[in-house]
Amino acid sequence: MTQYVQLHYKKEVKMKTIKILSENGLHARPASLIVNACLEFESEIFLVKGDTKANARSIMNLMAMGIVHGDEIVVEADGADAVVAEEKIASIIEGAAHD
Amino acid sequence: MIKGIKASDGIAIGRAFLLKEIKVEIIKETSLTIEEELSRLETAKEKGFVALDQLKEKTFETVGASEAEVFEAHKQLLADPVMAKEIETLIKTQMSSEYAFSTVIDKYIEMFQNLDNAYMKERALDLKDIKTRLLKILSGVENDKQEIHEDAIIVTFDLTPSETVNLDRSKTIGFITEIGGETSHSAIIARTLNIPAVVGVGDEIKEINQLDTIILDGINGEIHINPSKELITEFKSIKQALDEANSLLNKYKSIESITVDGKVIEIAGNIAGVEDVDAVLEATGDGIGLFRSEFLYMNRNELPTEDEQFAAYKTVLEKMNPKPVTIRTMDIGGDKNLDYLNLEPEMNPFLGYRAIRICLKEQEMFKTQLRALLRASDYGKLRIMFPMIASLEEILEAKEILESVKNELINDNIAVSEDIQVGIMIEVPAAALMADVLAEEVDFFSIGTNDLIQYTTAVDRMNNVIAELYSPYHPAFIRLIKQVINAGHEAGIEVGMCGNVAGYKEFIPLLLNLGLDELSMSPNMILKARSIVNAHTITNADNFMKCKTKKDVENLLKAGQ
Repeated sequence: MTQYVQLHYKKEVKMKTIKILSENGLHARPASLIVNACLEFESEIFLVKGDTKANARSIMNLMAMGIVHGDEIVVEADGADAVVAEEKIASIIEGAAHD
Repeated sequence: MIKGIKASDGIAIGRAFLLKEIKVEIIKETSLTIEEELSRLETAKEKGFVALDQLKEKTFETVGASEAEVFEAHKQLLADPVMAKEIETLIKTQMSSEYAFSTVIDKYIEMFQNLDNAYMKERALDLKDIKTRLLKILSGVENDKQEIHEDAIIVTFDLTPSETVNLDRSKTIGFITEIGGETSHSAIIARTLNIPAVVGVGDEIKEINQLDTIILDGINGEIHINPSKELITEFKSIKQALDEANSLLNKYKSIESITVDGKVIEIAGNIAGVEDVDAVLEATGDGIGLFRSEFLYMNRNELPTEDEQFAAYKTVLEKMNPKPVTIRTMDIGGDKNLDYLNLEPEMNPFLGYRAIRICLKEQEMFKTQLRALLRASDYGKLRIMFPMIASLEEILEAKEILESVKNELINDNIAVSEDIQVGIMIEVPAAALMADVLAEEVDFFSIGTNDLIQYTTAVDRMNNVIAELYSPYHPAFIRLIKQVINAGHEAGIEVGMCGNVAGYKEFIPLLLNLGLDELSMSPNMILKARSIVNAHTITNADNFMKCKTKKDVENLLKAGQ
């Protein structure tokens, strides 16, 4: 008997975990959008993938992290506007996650 | 002949232009103070930003917005705060700006090159581009724009984004690079500009000398160096045919398929497997009108499993979503046999045990396919189509099985789309004659012309001796089509056609006049068909109903009636 998977969509409980769906991973364009968006905030902002952590203000760091299709990313911010910053950066990654 | 990776389609015939690489000498020591060195670097970076802005502007105008963004990314890379800190640290140990900058950026270049992702590896080239740019500014090397000759096929190690943008595009007809892959800048730009490119040629690129005559075959990824006259003539004619097809392609891509009088027609593609979907997408087909699912059963030793089928259907549905995908259930028998089914040899296989007739007997096999189809239905717009229907009973039975499989899935909590259309092929004269009755049980008809012609005219289409008798011009065939379309429309369902005739240029106006809603054909015909549909005004087809002979039909068609 074949096993059938549950096909209904499961919502992630932890809001800031974002799965990268883009074939090219987090490529130059979204990385560039993230860096630009960071300029609005005072907080220190990081992207975390497993054990590695990248300064979201550094496109070099973001790209060198080699975020690929299927990776799960967490946005971490530390500072006065941390909550808004996390929201904003996460939404950019999500918006770019499909292209 | 040398080979590489095909990066952009097309053929170019021209002369090689070897780009020279400009090297900047880097001296580690500096005679300046740390402050002077830091401000020197800062000034160079400022100049870099200005140059990048100009390049961005130029790219925006000559290539496009998304390629222009590359230079925005370059600006950010150059402005990177983390990298700036590292460079500053080195300069503070009494190093020259050139040396400090190169050392740091080289480290990142290596990091990118070691990433396990082809796209990111390519980005190392962006860093190299930035490196060269800044080093040139620091050392005062003036702009190195190279004058190229007419019909130049650029030959180089790899094209950096700025080299690519600076090329004189009116003279560049192709790229050949030693390294790089499908996502390299040269490849992307070549595709955007619609000029052929072969990349990643490797060491053999050295066989090309300045001004060599080159045939660049981007379709096969081949380069012919100093080819014979005959070969040039041959490629010129291929190129001409391609150019004509391409201009058509561009004009009719991504536009609605609509007649002059405003009827929207679905011009869809026929496919035999997942790998064919891209051709339909490339031609911007309005859907898949026929997925010949039996090909999943062929060239193997056992039946495909439910999961295998599910994966194939899901991929096709997802890729096409929201456009409709018509999947025909297994159509084995006739000229398509499966050894592992151990079907008895028959005297008249086309009149024998085939398609829906097998499915209604081998119900487990049929149910496996239906389960796979229903599971996949959640991923797009699915239309299920039963082949070789000759009677109402067959439809009712097939639908009953479909319904029971659907209920099983729902009980197992598996998502099934609520918007699945169920239709039949009209390829047996009995079905065509009973179309008004059958129409009440299904959501659509699709006329299968090859079988309908052979059954209506009693001509075995595999028999060469009587090949002449097999003809779509037979007036009986035209009348049957008319009857099927009318019956479908009276019942309020769509009528399409997925046989060869749907892709015949001369037939399309007639099919539109007869009232067809959908035409499904080989993907490479789609744009041609759209060009015909979009130039056509629907009238009636009354004069065809008066035709007495095949010749009458043929003459009317040729007269463009």
